[in-house]
Amino acid sequence: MDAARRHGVQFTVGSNHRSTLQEFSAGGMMALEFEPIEAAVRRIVEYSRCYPISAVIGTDEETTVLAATAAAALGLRHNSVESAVVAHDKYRMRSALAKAGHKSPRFEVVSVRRDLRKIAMAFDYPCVVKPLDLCGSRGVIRIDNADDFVTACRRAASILEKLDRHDDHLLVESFIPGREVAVEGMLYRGKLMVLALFDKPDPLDGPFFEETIFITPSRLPPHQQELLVQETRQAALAIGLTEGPIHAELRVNGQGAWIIEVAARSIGALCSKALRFQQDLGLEDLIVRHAAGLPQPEFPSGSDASGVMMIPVPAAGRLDAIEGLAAAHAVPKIDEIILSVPIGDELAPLPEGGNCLGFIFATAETPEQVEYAIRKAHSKLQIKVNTTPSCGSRAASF
Amino acid sequence: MQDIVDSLKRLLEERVRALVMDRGGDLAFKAFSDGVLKLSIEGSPGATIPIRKNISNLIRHYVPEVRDVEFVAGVEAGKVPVSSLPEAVQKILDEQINPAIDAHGGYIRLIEVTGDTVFIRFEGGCQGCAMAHVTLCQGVEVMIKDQVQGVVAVVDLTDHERGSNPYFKTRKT
Repeated sequence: MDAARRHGVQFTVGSNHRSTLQEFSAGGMMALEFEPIEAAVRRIVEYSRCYPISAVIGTDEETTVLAATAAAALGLRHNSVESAVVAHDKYRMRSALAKAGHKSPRFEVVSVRRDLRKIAMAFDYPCVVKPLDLCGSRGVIRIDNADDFVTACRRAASILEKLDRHDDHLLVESFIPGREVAVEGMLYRGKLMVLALFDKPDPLDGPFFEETIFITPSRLPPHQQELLVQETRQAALAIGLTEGPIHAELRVNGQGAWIIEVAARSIGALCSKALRFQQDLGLEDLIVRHAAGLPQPEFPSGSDASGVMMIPVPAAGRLDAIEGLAAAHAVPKIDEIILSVPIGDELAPLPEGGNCLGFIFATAETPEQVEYAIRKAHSKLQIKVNTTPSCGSRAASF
Repeated sequence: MQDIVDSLKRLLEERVRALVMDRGGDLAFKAFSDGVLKLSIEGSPGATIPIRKNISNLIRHYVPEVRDVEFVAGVEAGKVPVSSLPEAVQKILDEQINPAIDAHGGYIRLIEVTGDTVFIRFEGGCQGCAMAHVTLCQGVEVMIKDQVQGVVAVVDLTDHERGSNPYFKTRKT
């Protein structure tokens, strides 16, 4: 919204949360149930008769397919519906990538209604179970042996059930060892402009895969960086994505670069604040300018290294306090700390939970300094969680 | 240029004016220059504000030379002069905005008006609400700027992190 305002682009917020001031917004807000998609698209098309729409931007994973479908119905330039569906569904994505010749782990979709014990015997370990369409590592669990297979699949299925996702299918794929990175890019008529290659310095080996620190530029050797960018470019092509932001996650090891997934959206939550481009533009500025057909700036970002930590949820329970904020802010090179969970909220770590506690941003001359500052600031925070709120208080500090 | 003005006046008479009159108001051509069309509009803000964007889009669709449409209420009609700005903002909050957001247990307090900027604070169900920024940008600010002459920005001073009972919970993953 702020980016659209900065560029003088009129916009309407379509949200499944209805604002009480919608009627006074002169078309600036539209209450919209995202599912079923057909009904949502009908509503958007009806709306466009009063308020003509020239672009649709999906702002998160939940809305990428709807945005593509609505754009198609309105005849607007956007990713094809098919490509958005493939990018949103981990099994279809794996299939498309394998078909296009990308290095691929062994993968299979399994139904939790079938005999999981029997299915477990067919896999090599370690492997990873993933819900087909959740993001942020939610429901993703590493499995090290056949005995744990059933438990992990049921746990992932129960996460889906609690989210009212009535799908009993899960993706199971071989675990890919290696260092994980993220590629942030923008597609312009099929051409990928890479905006950032983020290192994720914390090991992501399971049993759950909580993403914490993202730092750019990458410290990987140039030839590996080039390989990762090349792999991302080809993966976007294989999936059929052509327009707008992409966020790709990859691993790199002795065998080369492996695509974990490519999403038809930008990096999640507030992490994009870690990126600044020429003329002090942010990632959202680029997205809005692309959608509105405005000229794009030159891309090289500032010379500084930057990074963000999604502050991890340390335990399940009620968040009682986060102390030490002033000390964390005072750490040199720290730009900003934003907390996103109100005190008193119930916390759930991965794989069940979907929230981080907030974000720590830093910029410095080198990636090493950024990482040091972020870790130092995080160490100053005392996160107090009441871990057993319903049966007597037991406070824990992390 | 005169052709465009004639087209605009015809369009207003034939397709646009009735939309406003149906809501108990009226609308007239004032000026057109540099792609900006100025229209005077009268009527209850609650009735006319919701259709302004629609009117703007409709005009820009039929007359592509129009880049932007500005609505000028009456004498700058109906717009409240700057001298009584805090009172005017408070009146909009009391009579239009707060009764509406009360449905979500919310309340907006006017903190102060400095120059052309209005400072407000969201309270109750609005504090920490995931829709607060949307409500501010697309609702509160639109309503205040449309009705009070001289307001350029509405700034939210709320500490949303401390909102203990937001109507819509923030979900940032």
